[in-house]
Amino acid sequence: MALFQRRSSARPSFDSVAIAEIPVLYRVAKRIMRNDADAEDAVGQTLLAATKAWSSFDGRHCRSWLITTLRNECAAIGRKRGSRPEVTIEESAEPVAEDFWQAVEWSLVGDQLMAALDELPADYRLPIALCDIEELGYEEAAEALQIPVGTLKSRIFRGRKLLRARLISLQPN
Amino acid sequence: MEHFLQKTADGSANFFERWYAKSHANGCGRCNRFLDRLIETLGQLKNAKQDPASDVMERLAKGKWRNPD
Repeated sequence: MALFQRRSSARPSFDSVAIAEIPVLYRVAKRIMRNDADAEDAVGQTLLAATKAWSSFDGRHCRSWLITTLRNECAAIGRKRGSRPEVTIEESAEPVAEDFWQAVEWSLVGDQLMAALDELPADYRLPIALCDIEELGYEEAAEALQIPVGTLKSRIFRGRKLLRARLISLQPN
Repeated sequence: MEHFLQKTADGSANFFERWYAKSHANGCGRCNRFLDRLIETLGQLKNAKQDPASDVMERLAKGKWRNPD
């Protein structure tokens, strides 16, 4: 009984994990798919795939594992619909002027911020969504996106610059 | 410098990086404003986080994954 209790406390049921992670998965799915219906589809498919794979999952970084599964399901939905993969911006893209951060007026609301974020390429959008919105650690986010931590950090830093540029373009003159 | 300021703003800087960035920003108006704005933006991003609508949450919580076979 004691052994069972220890095992139980080490590994929660999929049910409890799934319910707790739905809001995070849905928000990340929205950042990937950029519309509500596809995000809901993707999360549904993710939970279905994850429940089947739960017994073989090692229990480490559950959120990363679910987000990796979510990314795969989003890609599958995109392929089924024949949508093209997003264009990737090279790291060496045009640099932004150093003082451009100061140019933004701070009257933005959350919707504008999310709209600006959704305009960024996925390579920058997702690291920001995971680290700056969902508050995942660098290692966990890198694992979820299956990229090295150094690459993740450089995409976050570059992504924030691109986001700032979008926010400036949203402002009235 | 911007790298240290970004790390300071998002909380990932170590003690020395944070000390270096803040010391510099204290004497540099431009970097100080940069740091303030970035901290504000990151705060806004966190606050913009919304939970799914209750009907979506309900559908997902009762979805097909509960009976996968």
